[in-house]
Amino acid sequence: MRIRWRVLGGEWKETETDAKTVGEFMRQQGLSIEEYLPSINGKLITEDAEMREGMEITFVPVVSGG
Amino acid sequence: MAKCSVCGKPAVYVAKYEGKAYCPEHFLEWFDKRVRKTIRKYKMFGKKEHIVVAVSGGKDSLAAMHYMKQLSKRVPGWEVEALLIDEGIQGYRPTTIRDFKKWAEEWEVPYRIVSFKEEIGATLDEIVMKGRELGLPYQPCSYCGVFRRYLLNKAAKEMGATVLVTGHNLDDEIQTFLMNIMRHDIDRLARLGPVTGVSEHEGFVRRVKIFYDIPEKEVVVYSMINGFFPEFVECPYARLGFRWDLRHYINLLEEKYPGTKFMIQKSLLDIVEVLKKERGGRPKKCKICGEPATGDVCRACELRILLGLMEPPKWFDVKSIKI
Repeated sequence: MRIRWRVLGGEWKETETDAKTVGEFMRQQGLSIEEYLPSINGKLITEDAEMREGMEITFVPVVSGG
Repeated sequence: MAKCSVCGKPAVYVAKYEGKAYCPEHFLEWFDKRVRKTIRKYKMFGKKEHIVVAVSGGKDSLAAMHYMKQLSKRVPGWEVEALLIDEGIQGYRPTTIRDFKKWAEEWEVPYRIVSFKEEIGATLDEIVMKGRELGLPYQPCSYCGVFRRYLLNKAAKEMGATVLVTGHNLDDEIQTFLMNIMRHDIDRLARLGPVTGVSEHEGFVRRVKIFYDIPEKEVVVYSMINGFFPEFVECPYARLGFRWDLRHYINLLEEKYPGTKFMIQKSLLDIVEVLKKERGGRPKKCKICGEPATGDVCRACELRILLGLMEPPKWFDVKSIKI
């Protein structure tokens, strides 16, 4: 399936993936679940959320840059 | 999708270290319960307090300001104000100051802004440049940390604070702990803990870390659920510091072995208790500026002298400064 995703503050990307869950997708992209929180339209979702065609996920960095 | 362990609604957060999940409503309840427990456990506040929250405009300190403002509504003897230190970092600080002002005004928190430029004599950007020209071996975060702590204490005193709240969370504290171990800085270890500053010393405003037992990730969840997660901007110096790498390694361990951060914190608390008895001497008064110091002269004055931002007094031997 194809999804759109970005790290908050960064550019949107389109990626083809076979990941079943958001957590699996994060591991594929090298995003640690300790360092990014997945969200859709500003609402948090958990990493066991199922991946669906056309999903738009924003990963919110936990580590602030201060 | 995970369900809330309390009500069964869709969860927004899973706390792996305790095997529970929470919906927004029950996350906030759980968060509040734990922060209040921390406050009680470490006797952070009395019935009457002039509380100053140290705010940068980033998520942790905004969350601390939001939380304290909400909590103060239940305690008639508490007055809450905010204090922001403007280090002068181009491309970073103006955005966070804008966020800070917006929320301080919306939540009706009176505030004061104090700048490096006015108080220290140069912005952090200028200090970093000067340090490089002079060949000083410090990273930007070293200057920033010393001057920020110095100004927070000085300005909080001027504001009449009885206690200074900072947004430091569990992750911040264990990173500092491990950094001090790796640098063999045992005296600094003795100064860690949920409540710092020596209350009986007239020069110190007691500092409390209300999010001491809260992982950084959960502070983000708190700010997102409450709708004030700030625009993401990164300090241009952040990745140059030791802390940046260290927190990544700790996060890798936490992901693989949930609960690691809390175990490090437990070790920290046990070690600090022993160290405070051994090394927790009463601070002196800086002979130059009068602020608290571990030696005769505080680190902020030493750095200002090294950077040429202050003329050393005649009695002071510049070579005595430990580089």
